Amino acid sequence: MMATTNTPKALSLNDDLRQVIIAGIQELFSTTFAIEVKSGKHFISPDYAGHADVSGSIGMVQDKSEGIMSIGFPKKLILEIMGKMYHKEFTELNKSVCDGVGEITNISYALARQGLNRLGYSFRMTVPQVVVGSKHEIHHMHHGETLVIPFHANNDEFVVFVTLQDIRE
Amino acid sequence: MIDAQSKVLVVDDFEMTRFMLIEALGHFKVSDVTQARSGRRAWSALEAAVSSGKPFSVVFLDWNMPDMNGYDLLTKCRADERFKDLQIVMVTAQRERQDTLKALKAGATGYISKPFSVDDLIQRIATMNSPTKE
Repeated sequence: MMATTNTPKALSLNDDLRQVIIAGIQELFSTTFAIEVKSGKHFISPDYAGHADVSGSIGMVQDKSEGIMSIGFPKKLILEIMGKMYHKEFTELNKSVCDGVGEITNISYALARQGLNRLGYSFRMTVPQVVVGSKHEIHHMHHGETLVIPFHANNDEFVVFVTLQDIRE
Repeated sequence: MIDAQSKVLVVDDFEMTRFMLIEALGHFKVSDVTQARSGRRAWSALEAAVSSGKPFSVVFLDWNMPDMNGYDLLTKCRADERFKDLQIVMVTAQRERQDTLKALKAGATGYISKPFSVDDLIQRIATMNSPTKE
């Protein structure tokens, strides 16, 4: 049942969040890319910095809390995924590949948002940003802990991580 | 109806989704396809096509885009007599029921939810071509 409320629940790094992220990522990859991904062991870190060759980040915004969700890919894996999508071989992280990471980030957040809003949250859609650079670090500037979920696909690994800002009434 | 004679505008800020839609349209032998990556660019393309006397017949329109979003473009089109015959199919990751209803109420012809595969798109377009099955 769709929960409706004028005062959205504050979100924490709980099982609700982890489960909707995993479900969304798995649905996206199996539907769009015909790739089965498995989630690895998650953890919560007070000061996590992600490492990736290309990453997408998107704000998670509702009235009582905000955060950021990032997805970081190694070059080899994302080139394989996008090569399959576009039916051609990519050797570099070009605009088409980076654009694909943007759409992956966009849809992943949309699916997580839908799952969360069914549970009584009230997240809004925002627009993702993509950063490219060999083994770049991703730091979330929000003041809060980070939920980190590794995913395994095509004998490689990518990571999704979410940091939530401390809630202030 | 989407067929080889259709003139189609595909609007999405992400190339990947535009690529998938164009690939699916190829299955229906649609070759007259224009791409736009924002609502504002799409509006310009729509107006230019009308002015040239060769209006678009179908628009596949993303919802969540920077500058003018797809919903705003949908309502703008529906308020404009020049686009009364234009089929507008929302293609979006916003798949909550209230969003679907909002778009249909505003005059969307159809609604396709992300994520999808090219095969999914082909099936959805085929269904749109056979409205009794929808």
